[in-house]
Amino acid sequence: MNSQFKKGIMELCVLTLVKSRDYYGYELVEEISKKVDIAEGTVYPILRRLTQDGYFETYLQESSSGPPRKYYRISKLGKSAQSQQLEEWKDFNKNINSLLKAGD
Amino acid sequence: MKTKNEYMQELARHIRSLPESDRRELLSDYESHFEAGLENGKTEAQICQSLGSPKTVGQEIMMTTWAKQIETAPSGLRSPGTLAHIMMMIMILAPLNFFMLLCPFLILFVLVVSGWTIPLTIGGAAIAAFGFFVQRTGAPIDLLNGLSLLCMFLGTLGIAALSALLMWLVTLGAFRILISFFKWNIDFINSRRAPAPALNGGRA
Repeated sequence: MNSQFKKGIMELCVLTLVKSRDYYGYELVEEISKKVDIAEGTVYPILRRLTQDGYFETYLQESSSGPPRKYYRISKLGKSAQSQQLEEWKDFNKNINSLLKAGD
Repeated sequence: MKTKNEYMQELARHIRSLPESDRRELLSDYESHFEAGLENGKTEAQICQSLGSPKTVGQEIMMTTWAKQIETAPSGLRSPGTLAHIMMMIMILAPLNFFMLLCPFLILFVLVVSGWTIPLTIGGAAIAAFGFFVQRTGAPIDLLNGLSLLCMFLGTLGIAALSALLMWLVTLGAFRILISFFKWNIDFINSRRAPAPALNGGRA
């Protein structure tokens, strides 16, 4: 699949997961790779970019084992970006589906 | 790639051109990923495998960094497509501008130029007439005739000056109209730049 296209969808997935609750990196990556076959390492650049863009805030929290974890929390800006991208995705999906149906 | 150390070294090599603080922050993300994976009972080799090759990951990081740099570049060059977009809009607007910009410009130009001929002809005519009368009537003109001629001459020059002043204001006004039209045109192009492509939120 076009990597640009995939990246856009990955961004939406990451935004949506973090909108549902706070995640730390590993947890989020595992959640995604359960469903989607991707190189897990490519999720971190997305997380970083979304943080730099002000969609996420990060904070450290102690873990029961090992060093503190970096958690991602969605910001107001992130929430509105997620809604907008979700709408775009739904539109896109609807149009593609109708195109594919026309081909049947 | 079998061990965490190998992986981290290789990744560090691929992102070595990043600023120190960014690089350290990113590497610590992958470091934590390894730790969390090990805690969850995975082996280093398994984690290396699922992360994807350090080359892929490193390239991905560099790509997002470049995209970010382009995005935060000076406003005129905000995105790689912006310049191309402006060029395209100018081309699309060209036929529109031909009528919307060139025509008003020509009309205003003709109006202003022909407007200016009024004070110039009146002034020129006054001078010419004065000269003509002086020449025609010969040297000794009596006082009354001379005075009335002079008054006529000055009066006509006055009318010429007044209409020149008027035309000066008209010219200024015409320039203002043209400039604001130019501004509107540019704003129009800018406003068409906004919508982000679907799905990637406008990022390259």
